[in-house]
Amino acid sequence: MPREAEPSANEKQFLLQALQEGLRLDGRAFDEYRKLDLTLGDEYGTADVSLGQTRVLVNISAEVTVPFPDRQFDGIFQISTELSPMASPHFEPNRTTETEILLSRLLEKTIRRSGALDTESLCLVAGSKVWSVRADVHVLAHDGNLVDAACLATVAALRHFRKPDTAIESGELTIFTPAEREPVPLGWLHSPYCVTFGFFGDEGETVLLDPDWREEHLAVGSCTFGLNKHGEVCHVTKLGGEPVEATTLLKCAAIAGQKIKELSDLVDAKLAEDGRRRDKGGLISELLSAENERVPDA
Amino acid sequence: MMKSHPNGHLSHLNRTDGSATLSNEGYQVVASVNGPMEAQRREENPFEAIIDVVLRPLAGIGGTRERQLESIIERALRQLILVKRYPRCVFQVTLQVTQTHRGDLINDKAVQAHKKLAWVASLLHAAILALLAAAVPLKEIATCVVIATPREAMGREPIRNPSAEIMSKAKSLHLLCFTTSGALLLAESEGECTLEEWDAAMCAGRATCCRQLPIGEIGPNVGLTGV
Repeated sequence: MPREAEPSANEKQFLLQALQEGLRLDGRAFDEYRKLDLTLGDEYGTADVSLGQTRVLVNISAEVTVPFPDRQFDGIFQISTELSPMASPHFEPNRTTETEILLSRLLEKTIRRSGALDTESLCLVAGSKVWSVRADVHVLAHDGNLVDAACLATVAALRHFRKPDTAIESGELTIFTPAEREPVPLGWLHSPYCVTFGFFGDEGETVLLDPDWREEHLAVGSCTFGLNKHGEVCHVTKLGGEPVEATTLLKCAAIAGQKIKELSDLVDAKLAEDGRRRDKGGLISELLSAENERVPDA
Repeated sequence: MMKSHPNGHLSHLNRTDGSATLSNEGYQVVASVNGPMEAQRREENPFEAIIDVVLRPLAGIGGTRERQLESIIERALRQLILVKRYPRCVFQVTLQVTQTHRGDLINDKAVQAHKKLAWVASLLHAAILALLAAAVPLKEIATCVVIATPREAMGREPIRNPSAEIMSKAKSLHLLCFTTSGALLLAESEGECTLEEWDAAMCAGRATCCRQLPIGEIGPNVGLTGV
């Protein structure tokens, strides 16, 4: 497939000069996200995020399988990020690129390793039957900052997902269809999101939040913060590029802390709206619900 | 459930040459087309363009079923695109399923075979819309329809674009695809049928897909000799 066309020398000069004069090409402030929109699907566990021109769709599916022999009490949770030529023509199917590896590792660190999903709650019969939850990240259009968009979409889709309810009676497992019992949400512990910055200038002194595709290509470095709205940091990832002053990173962290609240408010609002849309109301829905009383984590 | 009309959306992805979304009865496909682009050395054809169809399911990675659907779609599109005009080039057609009925996913292993033909219709329509959006030079466009031949108890008339319930009860299913000039492009069938039932299905399909042609030209033998 063709190599990705890089921004030309003119584009580069124009963009960098504009940044020196305090302007971004799309007219955003330096610490402003592009227009962010989240759509939850009609079926449970589908979230479609558009961040400017970047578009990511995440679908969650679950099936019952045998656990790994060394983790008999834990369910299986995997995130699959395969980039197709739809995202950008230079992605070849069935061939991993650097972008894909970085995306999957960052999602892994933010969501899986931070323990956002309680995998122990996915266990049905220790050692023989567990839920295997799979998140498929489909990038439909790549216009920079895939990580933030994909992370938001994955978290929203996982919180939107409902798995079939189950019961175990004298060692026999029954899985109920949605017609028999309302499906139940996953055991969710906290909602981490990613905030990405791009650094520009000789010493990385100019910081841009949410770099788009062109800015990503011309940045001298980038840094991703993964944290939740309580300010608990899952990871700070700065992979390669120019060294950046510690004070700059601290400023970034402060901005990330503010932005995370906006992101989590957006997801909470959309999930609440979706819940209201589905709520048939009345006694029947209360009786049909198989959900336990629990304090929802926001 | 109310029968919903197909719904399309064009050129909404910015990194591709052409893109389209098609949703029909709870099934949604996003198609994108890139091309003509230079083909890789190892797969180029010095006389005509190659068409690279990739079908990606909503959950999991594609398997044998996806490869089979890809080859059906690739063969159909090859007849429509002016491939001889673009030697050593490639047209990349990516089809991403973005919505299915949840029931299809839970029993993913035992995929309902009758769903397959209905999928091909949606996939092919989405691919053609994306080709149009990408301004790829085409000889003509094509439309397809699924025809169900019902069992005795359900009447004798062939049913066009049947619902999932009718499909599961039908005696045979036919996917028929016709080009704008009335030529048969693709015919895939499942189940068993007599020659009369096949003729009736062909007539119904031709009448649905080639409505723009004058009645006289929609005879049973027009265009069967090929595109």
